[in-house]
Amino acid sequence: MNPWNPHPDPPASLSINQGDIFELGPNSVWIVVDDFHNTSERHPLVHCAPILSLSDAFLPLDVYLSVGVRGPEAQPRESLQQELSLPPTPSLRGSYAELGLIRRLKKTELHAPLATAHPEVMNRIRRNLVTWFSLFTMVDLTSSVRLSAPTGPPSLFPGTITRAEGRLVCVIDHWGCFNSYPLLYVAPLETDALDLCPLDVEITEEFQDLFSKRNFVRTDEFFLVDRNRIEASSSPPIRVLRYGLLRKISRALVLKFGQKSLLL
Amino acid sequence: MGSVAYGQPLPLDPTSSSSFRLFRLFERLLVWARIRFVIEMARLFFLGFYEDFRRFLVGLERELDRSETEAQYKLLWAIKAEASEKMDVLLDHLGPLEHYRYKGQGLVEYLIGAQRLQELRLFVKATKLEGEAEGLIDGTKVAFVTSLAQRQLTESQRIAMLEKYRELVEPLEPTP
Repeated sequence: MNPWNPHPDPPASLSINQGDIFELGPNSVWIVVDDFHNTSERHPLVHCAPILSLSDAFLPLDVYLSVGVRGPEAQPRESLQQELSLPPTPSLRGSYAELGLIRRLKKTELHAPLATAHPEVMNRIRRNLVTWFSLFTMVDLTSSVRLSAPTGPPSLFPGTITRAEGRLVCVIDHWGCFNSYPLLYVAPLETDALDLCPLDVEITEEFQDLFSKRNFVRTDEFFLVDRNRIEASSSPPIRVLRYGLLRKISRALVLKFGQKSLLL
Repeated sequence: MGSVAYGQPLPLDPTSSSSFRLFRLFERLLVWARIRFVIEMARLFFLGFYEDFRRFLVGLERELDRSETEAQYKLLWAIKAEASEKMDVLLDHLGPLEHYRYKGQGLVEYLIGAQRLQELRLFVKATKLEGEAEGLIDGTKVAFVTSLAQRQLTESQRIAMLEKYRELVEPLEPTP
């Protein structure tokens, strides 16, 4: 049993697909970005990104959803933002999938999708998510001749094991760490997990407490936390994982967001 | 070759003789024993190899976990990828033998064992999948390192991000 979700919801609808767009209330529209266990009854939650209006989008990896008429102020502001097509759903024109604010929603809350994103939109979302969680080091950043050198190392490194929201977590947010974002994605640590998932990464080799035999980073259950809260509680950090384990965590997230089909 | 005089009765066909039948019996025993010997030797060698292979994979994964740089990781990953390719070739070669039966089961299953065969196939499949994911991770570095100057947030954007987070998340809490 998952200690953080001891009373999971009853089996949810199995018709939730990556790219489905749901309206949960006024100004609350979400797109399913998860591609791992959308059809699994064992997992009642699924990762979704909010869809924001143009004026609210601000991150370079946000994905533009529509080909609606746009004025000069509506041009994508960053090179990684892309103009992509969406089925003709007027309320979604000129909006962005905000990849910096992904969270897990209950499948039982998601009924009757408004639309399903165009495959090109999903390709861009998948690619940007892989970029977000890919593994980068200071060496990568400082060795690129095309860049001005970063002002300094990030205040928090990916792979840091610390406490947040009252539990042990591992920082998995490479993009957020190196860009000093105010929010960071972290994945919970679990000891002696019984319901192992293919996306769990065992870190016992690097992190073993006195009483447990095995420890896992549950990448599938990542969530956002306020960076300030982590920094306040991570001085000094409990541990920073080595490159090899970070690479495995990145790989798990690549599989989560869109390469599952490779398994089939 | 001996001669037979006209009028003498034709001797019995020697291929119907008991000595021929006994010869065939022993000949078949000889062939069967030799094949069986080869099969048993192959099985024995495979079992030895398989135990070594499992130990190798456990050690390799441990070293991958311990690697501290990309160079170390890539070196170890290349070893794993090569092992997977060799295993893939082996499984391909074993394919035609699957139709033969031996001791009441498929010859390949007898040689390797159904569970071990499944584990090896999964290893090959998983390594291919991991290789695809590794390629995607490497590919995104280009986008990452060439856009450093474009992705820093201004102070007002940082505040906007936090405000939007609170606005979106808090009404939906609690969710693990």
